[in-house]
Amino acid sequence: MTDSNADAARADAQRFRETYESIRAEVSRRMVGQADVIEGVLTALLAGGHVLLEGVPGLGKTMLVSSLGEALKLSFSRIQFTPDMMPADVRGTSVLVESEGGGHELQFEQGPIVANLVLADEINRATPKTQSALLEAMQERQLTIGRRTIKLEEPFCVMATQNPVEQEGTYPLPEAQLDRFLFKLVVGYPEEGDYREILRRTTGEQEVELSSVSNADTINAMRSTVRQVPVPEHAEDYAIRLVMGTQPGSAYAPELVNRYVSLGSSPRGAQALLLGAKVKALLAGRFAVATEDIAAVARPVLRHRVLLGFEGLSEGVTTDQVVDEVLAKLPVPQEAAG
Amino acid sequence: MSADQDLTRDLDQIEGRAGSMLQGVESRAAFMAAGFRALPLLAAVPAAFVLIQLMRWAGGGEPAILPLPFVLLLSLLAPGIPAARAAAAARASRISRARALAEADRQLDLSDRLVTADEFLRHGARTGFQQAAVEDAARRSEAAASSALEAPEAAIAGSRGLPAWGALSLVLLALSAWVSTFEPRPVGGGGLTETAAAEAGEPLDEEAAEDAVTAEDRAAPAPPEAVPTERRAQDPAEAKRSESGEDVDDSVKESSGRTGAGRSSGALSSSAASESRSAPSTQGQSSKPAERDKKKRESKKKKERKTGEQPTPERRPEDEQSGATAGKGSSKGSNRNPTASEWQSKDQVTEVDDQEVEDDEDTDEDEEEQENRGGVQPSLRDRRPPVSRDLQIGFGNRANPDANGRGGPSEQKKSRGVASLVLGVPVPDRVKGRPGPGPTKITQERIEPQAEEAGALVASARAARSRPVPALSSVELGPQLRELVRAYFLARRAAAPPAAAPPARKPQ
Repeated sequence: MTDSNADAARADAQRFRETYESIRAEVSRRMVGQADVIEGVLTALLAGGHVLLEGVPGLGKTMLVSSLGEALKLSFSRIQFTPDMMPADVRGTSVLVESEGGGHELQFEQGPIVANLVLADEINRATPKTQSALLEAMQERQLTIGRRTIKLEEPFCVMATQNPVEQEGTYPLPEAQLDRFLFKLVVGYPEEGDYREILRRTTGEQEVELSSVSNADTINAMRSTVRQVPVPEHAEDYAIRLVMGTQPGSAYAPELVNRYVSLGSSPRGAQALLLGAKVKALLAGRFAVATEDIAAVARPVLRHRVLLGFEGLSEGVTTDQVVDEVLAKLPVPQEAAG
Repeated sequence: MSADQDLTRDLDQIEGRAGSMLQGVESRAAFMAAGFRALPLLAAVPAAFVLIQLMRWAGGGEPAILPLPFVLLLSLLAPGIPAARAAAAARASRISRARALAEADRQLDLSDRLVTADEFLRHGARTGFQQAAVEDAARRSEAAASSALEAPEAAIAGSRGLPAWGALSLVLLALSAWVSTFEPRPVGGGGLTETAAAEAGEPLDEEAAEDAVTAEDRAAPAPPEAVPTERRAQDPAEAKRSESGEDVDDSVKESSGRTGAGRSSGALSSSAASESRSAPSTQGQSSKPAERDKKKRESKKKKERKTGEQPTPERRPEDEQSGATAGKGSSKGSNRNPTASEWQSKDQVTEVDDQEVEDDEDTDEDEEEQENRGGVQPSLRDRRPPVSRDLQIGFGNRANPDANGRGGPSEQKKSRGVASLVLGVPVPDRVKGRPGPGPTKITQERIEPQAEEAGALVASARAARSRPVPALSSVELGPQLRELVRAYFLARRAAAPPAAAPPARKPQ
């Protein structure tokens, strides 16, 4: 029985890797470079979380999400956030329609958030009131409008984009909203060698057509496989201490954190670390989480969960530096135990 | 199960090898660390030896007491003993199984497979993935058991001091060897002197004369002419000491107290404490009205206890925030009205103690608050019957000598609610009138607007502020201003000498 379970686990892991590789390859047919971002987006999708993409305009953030929707054959919707947007524009509202017989009745029209893949473009342009319309959907995977509750179909993933350059008319995401995102990925400029390929693909006659290599059921099965990956005690301890290391005043916080950080990560950070590490372990061909998997996802998980104080901001300290410092100073639990 | 046993056996082997390797590394590291900490002993032993030699030589003894190799051995043993003890303690401590396997994982690049498998082997029922993880580790454990493990290098602090202390130790040993060659100093009197003289070849008479001079110098006291009395006063003490057998030098007696070394440090500490108390605290100087009320209540309670009366019931916070009061703070609730006339209303119940204005400060504050509200506020604390509100403005031609339109003896209007906001406007609480709409009179008047010449406004310079700046409300900065402030501080820090910056790592 144990052997057959192990064989099934190995088969699931093998299927997971193959499907992941096929999705990545399909998306890379349209996206040039940005391998880390593609891997991060797929990892977050398969871990069951949401992604926040931050980068200057013109780096392909929207194209990445739309390509992913095409490759996965998932319902895809795009919400362009503007300052005048209302929560009803996101979730949906009841509209008055003419019924048969000449009367009128209210008919609920669901908003663009009811989809599998939701691209929330420039989310920081919407008011906090409108941003909060996403909170329940992202956490509970459901919408409550009046007396109506709509369960969102799985897989449900919100991929939000925001411009890092603060401009007039933007509303920074509050901490509660930021905590809902599993990963925050920073999209940088492409390499010099990628520019030529980008120009060729985007300015030529031929447009790259993507074929669907997966579907919603496959993605759900992959998510289920991720959840089955076990986490040994030493890896759990490592994730816990890593999160505690970002909290000023804790026993595992280095001097940099105590001096420059005003608010550390919540326990959601530890959850996100383990989920992301499980995907990493499967992709590495292992069947259990290792500390190196947790360290690999530490930056995208914790960089938006750590808030710097004024001294940190004035010194030019970044959250990535804080995470790196915590990783450097934190001993592996086995070594610490002696 | 056999596969599990094989894996367990392999893990035991790996643990043994890795554990002994780590134990050796820790033992060496402990030996080196303790040795480096005890490096000063390397120079302390020869230094002490040199001092002993010099003391012996100064005392006329033989300076060479121990052979030089023995001193060298002692110098090496001094730091060696604590180092050996530390190494032995490290050897005795056991390396945990998890740590040994983790070290093997790290060196063999197995990504925690061995540690994970060891944990899962202890589980009774394993899931499919756990079993797969165990089998994955088993495939690699046999090769890992036979792989060599390298001893990691441990960074040991304090190694830089070895050359310096070693050099100092050698210098002191050389000094000791040189001091050992000294001839013993001749000491005055007896056969020793003759022997020394015979060896040295010096005439005996001169030495004897010199010795006699030094002996006379020691024996004869040399009192200064300026302090003969001190000598006489100390003579009895000296006599006592000589009786008891103590040999105290005069210079020691005179030196006591001059440097003040014996002075206690209590005075210094007390002065420091007084200095720390000199800075008065500025907190709590501007007390809020609620705090002022609390203080007044406490002072009033104290007064009542003095007179031996029952304390008045304490006012609840709800009373202070009743609709009758139109602002912050609270009504004082006493009938002490500084502006009241001597005439007392027959409707009011007064007591003698109420007329006593004992606390001028409270009275002044009462006045100020009541003026701000536009009148005397009703007292809820005293639980007296309310003041009559009947205005008694008179009926027709009958005049009421008591009437003042304000229902009480005081000149100030008693009001509550919105009416208290209007100052100086007599608003009767109750007006006796007749029902009915009454006649209506409409008057229309045409008024032409008249132009008025507005006076020119002359701008004048604003004088400097005379009072301190009060607390300013925080201003929400917009994104551009925030960015500007941030850029400003970054530029300032860039211009300043660079501080220790956190290490930058390559992006993942």
